[in-house]
Amino acid sequence: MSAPEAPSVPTRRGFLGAGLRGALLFAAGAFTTLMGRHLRAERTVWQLDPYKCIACTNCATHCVLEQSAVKCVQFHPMCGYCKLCTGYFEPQPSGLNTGAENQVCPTGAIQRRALEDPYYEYRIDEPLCIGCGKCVVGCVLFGNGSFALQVRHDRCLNCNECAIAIVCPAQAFSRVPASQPYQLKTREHQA
Amino acid sequence: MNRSRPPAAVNRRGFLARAARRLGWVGLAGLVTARSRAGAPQTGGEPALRYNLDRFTKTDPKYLRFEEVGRVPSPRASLRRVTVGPSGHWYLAAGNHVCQLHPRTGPGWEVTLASTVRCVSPGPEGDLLVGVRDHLEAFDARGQRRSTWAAPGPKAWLTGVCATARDVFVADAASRVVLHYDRGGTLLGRIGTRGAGRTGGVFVVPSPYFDVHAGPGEELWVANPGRHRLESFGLEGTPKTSWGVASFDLAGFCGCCNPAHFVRLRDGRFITSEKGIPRIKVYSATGEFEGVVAGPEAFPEYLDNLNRGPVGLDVAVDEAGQVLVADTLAGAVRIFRERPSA
Repeated sequence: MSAPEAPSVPTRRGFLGAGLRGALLFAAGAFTTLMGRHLRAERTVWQLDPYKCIACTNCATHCVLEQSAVKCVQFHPMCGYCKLCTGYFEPQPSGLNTGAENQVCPTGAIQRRALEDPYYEYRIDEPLCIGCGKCVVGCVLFGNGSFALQVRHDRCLNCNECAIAIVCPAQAFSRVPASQPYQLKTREHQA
Repeated sequence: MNRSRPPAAVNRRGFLARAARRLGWVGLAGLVTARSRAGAPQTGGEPALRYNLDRFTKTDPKYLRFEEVGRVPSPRASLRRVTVGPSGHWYLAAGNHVCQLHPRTGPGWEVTLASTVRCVSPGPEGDLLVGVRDHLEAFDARGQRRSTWAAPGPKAWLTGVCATARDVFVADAASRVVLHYDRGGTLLGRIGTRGAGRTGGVFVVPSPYFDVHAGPGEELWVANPGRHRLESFGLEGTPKTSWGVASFDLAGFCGCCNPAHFVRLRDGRFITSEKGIPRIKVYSATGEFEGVVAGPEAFPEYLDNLNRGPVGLDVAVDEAGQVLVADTLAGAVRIFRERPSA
């Protein structure tokens, strides 16, 4: 007849070892789950919400690119085609002409073209635009707000941590699905 | 002679506690660094890149002809329009509601519509015409709905209405015309349609601010904001006269499209309201600049309103000649009285 086995005495070493094994198992499970989610998730890109943007000029100066990936875009369906466009002309211009001293844009990146009287079309010359948003302020403050800043994805490097998003005082930047990379303005939002 | 202290024994508990403390300090330092990077907005910007309106936001005191004498809070949020009826009642359009109130007796009735109220006009008998985006609704003097008028078009965007004893004029910013109805809602004509030799139409309305006001007499006044002027017509639509210039100076109308709203005092003078640089001014009956009712310094939050875009300050005049301003952001009607010395 064999003697009954004595109950094992818990030791500190055994307890810590079991705890470590459990923690490793948990970490492996969490890693697998996160990887699965990451692989299933849609790719996202940076974009700024034009209704939150306050055109603070940080987009022009904080992008890691030499010339910012943020550019002004013109939402033509919202444009009033004004003769005196406050996004194009300085406040109190000396004349409603294309003289540099009359233009809001510091780089002359807005093109003005006469349509039928008294309407004018305004287009952004993107290579010249530095994304300062000066025209956006003029347009939003007085008019329909058809000028707005957007991250242009043909230029954006899609950094993991966007240098502009970090300093954006309006917290207008967010990750959006790559399938819908732009945030458009609509007339419905007006008035 | 001192004996040297023996080195402290290394034990597991002490080692783990020290490691946890150090990790805590590192984590705290990381958190503070991240907060300081994210929480320090840099809004200064290069001066050359800033849109600067500073020189237009101060009013020379010698031009101030009115002073604020009171505020009446709106019973509802999103105050948009204010008007005064023949019995002295005020009608406030706020959100989907029109609230009647009397400055002495307090709130009266209230009506609720299906969508945002964009314009209101009391008739000479105390009845009320209320414009939503694409149609008008008529109410009697007790606030009971009498009729709903047909929409003038699928894209109509009504921004102004004015009722007289015989006619109703409605400003449609989408088609840039003033619609002329009889009191029963029958369309009689359109003012401002494209005529022979005129390619651009009469009215230039870049944004949904297009106001209309009838009287006194057989005269209709319409804001032509894209041309920065007020224009008068005969009630059948014949152009008569106009005045106004585009300018950021006090005497002119600033921005791309102003005035946003206007009203007339009993003596025929005009009270105009501008958006962008919020300023309310008084002009003579023939359009000469006389002074300022309230300058931009009376509405500081309107200049820092980039998220919402321009907000028009609707104006009305009560029986005592006081100017009522619908201050949307303050949610109140502000009352301005002419200074005795003015």
